[in-house]
Amino acid sequence: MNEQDPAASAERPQPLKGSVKSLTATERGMQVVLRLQNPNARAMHYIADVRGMDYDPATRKLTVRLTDEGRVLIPSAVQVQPTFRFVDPGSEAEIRLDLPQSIVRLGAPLPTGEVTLEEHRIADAEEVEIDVAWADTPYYEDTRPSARQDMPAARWQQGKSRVSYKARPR
Amino acid sequence: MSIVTLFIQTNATGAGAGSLDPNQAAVDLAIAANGDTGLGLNAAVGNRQQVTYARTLAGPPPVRVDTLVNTNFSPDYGAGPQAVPVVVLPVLANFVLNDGTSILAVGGTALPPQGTGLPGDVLNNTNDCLVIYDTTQNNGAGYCTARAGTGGTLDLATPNAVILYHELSHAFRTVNNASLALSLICNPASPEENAAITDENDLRTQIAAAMGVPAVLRDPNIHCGAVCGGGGGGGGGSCCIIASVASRSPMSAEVQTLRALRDQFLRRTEVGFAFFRQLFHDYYSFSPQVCTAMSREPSLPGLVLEGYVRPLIAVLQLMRDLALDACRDADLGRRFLQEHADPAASEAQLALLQQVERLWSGEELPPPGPAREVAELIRRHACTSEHVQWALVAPVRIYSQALAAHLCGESPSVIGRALRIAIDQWSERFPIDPVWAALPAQELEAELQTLETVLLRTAKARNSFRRRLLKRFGDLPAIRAVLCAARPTVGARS
Repeated sequence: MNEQDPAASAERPQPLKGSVKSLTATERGMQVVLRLQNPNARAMHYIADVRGMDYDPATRKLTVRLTDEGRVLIPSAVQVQPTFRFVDPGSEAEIRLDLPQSIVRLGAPLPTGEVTLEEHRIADAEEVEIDVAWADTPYYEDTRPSARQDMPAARWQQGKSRVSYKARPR
Repeated sequence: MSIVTLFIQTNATGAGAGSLDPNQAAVDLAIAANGDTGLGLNAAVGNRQQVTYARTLAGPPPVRVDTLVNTNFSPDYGAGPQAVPVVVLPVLANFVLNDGTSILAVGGTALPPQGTGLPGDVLNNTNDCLVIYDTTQNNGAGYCTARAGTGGTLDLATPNAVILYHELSHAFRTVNNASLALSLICNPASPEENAAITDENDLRTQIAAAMGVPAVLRDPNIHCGAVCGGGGGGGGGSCCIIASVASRSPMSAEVQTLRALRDQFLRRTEVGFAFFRQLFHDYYSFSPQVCTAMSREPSLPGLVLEGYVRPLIAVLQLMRDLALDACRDADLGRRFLQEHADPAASEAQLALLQQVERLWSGEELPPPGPAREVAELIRRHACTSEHVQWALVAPVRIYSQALAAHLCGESPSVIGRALRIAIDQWSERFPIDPVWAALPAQELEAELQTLETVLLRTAKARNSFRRRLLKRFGDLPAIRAVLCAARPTVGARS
C-alpha cells in the first residue's frame, strides 16, 4: 500500500503476531504449522501460501516467503494469485505449510556456459524464518496505470510479520 | 553451418537425480508438434539433448516448433548479434528462481539471456534463453486460468504441454528480439502475455481437434490464474464479502455485477482508487464479522440479499444507466419498474427493505443472537463511515423511496424524475479524500473532469462539489488554480 498516502498511515494496524506451533518431518518434506494472532479490533488479511523460499547453506537459514515482496517481473505461464485469508478481530488462526525436503535453483554455469542446478536440503535448516504479508483490507488489484515494478500483492501489503523458529541442532 | 537452437536439459548437474523430468519435456514437445514423427532428439552432449525436427505436418504449433528447432537465432540486444539457444528445463515443484520465487507461483517462465535488459534477464546467469516449467502441475493440483467468454472464471486447466508451449512463445519473441511490453497487472494481460496466450490457444485448439472435442480457449486478456480446486484466486475473490455470503457464492451474478461496476466504471483514477481504498478500509472493519454472524443464522442471508444486496445492485445499475445513457425520466422509471411487475412481490421487498433499515438504524433491536450482533456491528462501524454511508447505504434508501412511490401508484415518469433528482443530489455528496490535496494542478483538472463525466451530471452537482472541494482544500495553490480559474460553460445536461 502506498505509504505516502495520508489515508494509508492514518490508522496503522498492529502487525499480526506469529509463532511456529510445530515443525515436523513428513514423507515428502516438512510441515510447518503457523499460528497467527490478530491483536486488532478489525479483521486482518494475510497471504496463506508459500510464494517463495531462500536458503543460505552457510548459516543453514531458511526463509519462507508468504509475500510477493522482492519478486522480479518475468514472463510467465500463469500469474498465480496468492491465497488470501483473514483472522477475525482479537482472534487466532493456524495455517499449515507443506515444504519440500530440498529446493533446486540455477547454479553457476559451467565454463562452457551450460546451465547447472544446485540443490539445498532445507530439511537440514537450523533456523526458519517465515515472512507473512498482511493488510487490514482484502486484496484488490491496483488497476491504475503505474511505472512501479513491484508485484500487485506486494503493493497491497501494509506490512509483514516475521516469525523465527530455531530447529534443534542435528 | 549446423543449427544449434532448441535443447532439453537432461542432466541436473549439481542437483540430485530426479530434479528434472526430461522425458516429460519430450512428450510435451511431441504434443506441440501434433505427434509428428519427424520430431527427434540427438544423443545427449554435456548436460543436454538437442531437439531435431523434419516437419511433415501443418498447423501453427508444428510450424512454431519447426522454426525454433531449425533456425539459428542471432538477435542483437545492443552489443552486437549473439547466438541464443533455447534450453528447456522441465523442473519439479521444488524449483525456485534466483529471486526466491517458487515455480508454483508462475507455472513456467522464459528467462532471456543475462545482460539483455529484457524482463527476467537478471534471474538468468547464462547466455541461453531458459524455458523453465513445472512438470508436476503444481504438485498435482493443477493451474487454472481464465476460460474465454466467462468474464474471468478461473476454471480452465493448463496441461504441461500448454505451459511449455506458452513459454516457447515468449522464447520465440526473445530470440527474435521482438518481445512485447510486459506488465505486472494480470487483468488486462500485457501485450506480451496476450500474445503468448493467443499462441497457447493454437495448441489448445490442436489438442481439442486431435481428441475430437470442441476447443475451450483461454481468455487472452486475462493472465491471472489460481491453483485449481481452491486455494488461490484472490484476485478480487474477496470482493463484496457480504454479497458473497448473502448470495452464497463469490461467483454469483450479484457479486460479479458489483465487481464489474467497481473495476470497469469506478476504480481507474487516482481519486476513484483513493475513494475505494477508504471504503474498503471502513467496510472491512466490520463485514467479515457480519458474515460470521450471518453464517450462524439461516434467515439472515436471504434477508440481506433481498432487502439490501439486490436493491443496491439495481440502484447502482440505474446510476450507471443515467450516467452513460443519459436516459429520460420516463425511461429511467420504466427501467426501475421492469423489476417490479408483481405488486405483491414489490410489497414484500419494500417490507424487507424497511426491516433492514430498522435493523441497521437501531430502531428495532433484535433479541440477542446473530441478528443483533449484525445490527450492532453495522451501527458501530457502518453508520460512522462517510464512505460506507454514501456508497452502500444512501443508494439503497433511494431505491426504497422509488419503490414506495411505485406502490403509491406513481407513473414511470414521476418515479424516473424522483430517481434522477435523488441520484444527482447523492452524487454531489461524493466524499472528498485527502488524495485531492496531493494532486498537481494538471492531474487535478483531469480527475475533476473524469468525475464530472461519470458522476456529477448536472451543473448544480458540479458546482456544489467544487464548492466543497474549495472549502476543504482552498488553501492549496493547485486547488485554487483549478477551481478558481475561469471555467468553460458547464454542459447543461440538467
